Amino acid sequence: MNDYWPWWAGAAGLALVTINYAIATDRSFGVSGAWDRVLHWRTERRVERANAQVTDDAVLIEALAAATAGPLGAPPLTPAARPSGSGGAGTPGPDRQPPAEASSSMARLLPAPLVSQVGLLLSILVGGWVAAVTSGRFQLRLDMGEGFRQIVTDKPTEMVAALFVGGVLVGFGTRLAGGCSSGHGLNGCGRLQPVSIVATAVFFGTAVLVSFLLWKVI
Amino acid sequence: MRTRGAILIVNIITGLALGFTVANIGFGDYAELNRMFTFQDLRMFLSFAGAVAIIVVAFAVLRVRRVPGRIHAGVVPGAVLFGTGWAISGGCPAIPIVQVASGCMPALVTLAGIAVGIRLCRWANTRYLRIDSGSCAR
Amino acid sequence: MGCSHIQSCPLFPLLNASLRDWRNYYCDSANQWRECARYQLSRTGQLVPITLLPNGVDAMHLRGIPAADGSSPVEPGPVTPSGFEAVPEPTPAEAPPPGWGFDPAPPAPGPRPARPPAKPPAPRRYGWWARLADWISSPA
Repeated sequence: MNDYWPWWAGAAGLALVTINYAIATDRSFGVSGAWDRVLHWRTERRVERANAQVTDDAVLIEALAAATAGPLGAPPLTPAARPSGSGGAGTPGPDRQPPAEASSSMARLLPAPLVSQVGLLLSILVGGWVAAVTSGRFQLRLDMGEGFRQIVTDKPTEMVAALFVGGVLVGFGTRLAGGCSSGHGLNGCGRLQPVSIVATAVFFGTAVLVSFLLWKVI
Repeated sequence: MRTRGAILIVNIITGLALGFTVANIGFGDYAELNRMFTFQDLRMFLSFAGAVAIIVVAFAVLRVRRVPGRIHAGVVPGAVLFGTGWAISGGCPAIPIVQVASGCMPALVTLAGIAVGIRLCRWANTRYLRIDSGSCAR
Repeated sequence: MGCSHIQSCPLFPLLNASLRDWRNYYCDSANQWRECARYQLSRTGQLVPITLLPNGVDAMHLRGIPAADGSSPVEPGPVTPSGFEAVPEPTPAEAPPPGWGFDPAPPAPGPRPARPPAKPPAPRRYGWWARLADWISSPA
C-alpha cells in the first residue's frame, strides 16, 4: 500500500501550498474557517454587503465624525459641517495625511470574500478527485476501508454513528479552538503563533491518545 | 492592491493543490492515519512536520505577518474535542472532502457531522460561551 | 489597559488617525472597551462588519444609505442617542421638492445648480457581465 507520496514530497507540497497562499493574499487560510463562513452564509453575505458600502475610508471617518455628537458627550457637530465635505469634517485639526496608509491596513484586516471560501472548498473536492483518478485509487464504495473496519467497527450503523459523532466533535472542536490542521497546524505554526502551537500540540496529542485506545483497547 | 478576483483565483488554486496533495499523502486513508497517530508509520507525520518546518523558515525569511489571536479559553478544550473526533472519524475538515472525492460515500456522514458541529459551536458561542478570540477580524 | 482587539480591528486605524474621542472613550479605556459593539459581536464568533461603530450604530444608516437588506447586522441596542437626527439627510428625490409646481420661473439651469438630476445614481443598472467584472476588479 505504498503508492502514496514519500514524506518529503508531501512536506514540499503542503509547504508550497501554504507559502504560496500567504504570499499571494497576505492572509492565512483555514479549511474549518471556510466551512464556518460558508455554513453561515446568510450572516456572512449581510456583513459583506455592509463592508462593500465602504468604498473609501473617508466615508467611515465622516460617519464617525457625525456619530461623535452623541455618546461621547463631545459637543455636537454643526450640521453644516457635514454634507459631503469629503470626509475630514471631524474633530478640529485631524491629521489628513494617514488615509492612504489607513485604508491599506483596513483592507488587510478585512476577510477574504465569501465566494473565495466556497471556491476553496469546491476545489479541494476537485483536487482530491483528480488525485484519486490519476493514482487509480478512485473507487465508489459504501465503507470506510479495511482499516476502519478493524480498528473502529465493522457494522454499518455503528460506522455511521461513529462518523457522525466524530464529525460533530471535529466541527465543534475546530471552531472552538479557532482552527484546524490547516489553519492552526500549517498556517499558524508556520507563523510560530503561540495559540496555534498550543492547539496543534493538544489536538495531535489527543488524537494520538485516542488512536492508541482504539487500536489497543477496543 | 489585491482584487477579489485575484483572491478567488488564489483560493481555487490553493484548494486544488491542497486536495491533490492531501489525497496523495494519504490523509484520506483511515488505516494510514491510525498508523500515523500510533507511530507505526512516520511517513505522514514527517510530511506534516516537514511542511511546518519549511513554512517556518520561509515565513521567517519572507517576514510574513502574524495574524492576531490569543490563547483563549476555547483553545485547549476545542483542540481536545477536535483530536478525539479526528481519531474516531479520520477527518479534519478537509479530509472528508477528499474522501468523498475518491468515492468513499460514508464520508458524507462525517461532513454532515462537521456541519452540525460548526453550527452548534456558533450557536453555543452566541448563547453561552461568548469566547473572546482576541480579534474582531477573525 | 485598552482593548485587546486593537491590532486586528479594521476600524481602529481610522479612529487612531483622526477621531481621538472614540479611541479615548472605547479603545484605550480601562473597561469601556468591553462595551464596544464590535467587541461584543466578535464574541459570538461572527464576522464584524466594518460599518459597525463601537456604539452599536451602523455607519451607513447614519449617512442615509440604507443597509443592503434594510436591516442592520446587529440590533443597535439601546444606544442611538439623539444628535444624529439633527443631521439633514440628502433628499430622497423620489418626490419632487415642495413648491415645484408654483415656481413662477421656468426651471432655468442657472438658479438651481445644486439639485440632482431626477434620480440619484444609486441603483446603477449593470449587465451581469459588467457586474462580474466590477466585482473581480474591486479590491478585496
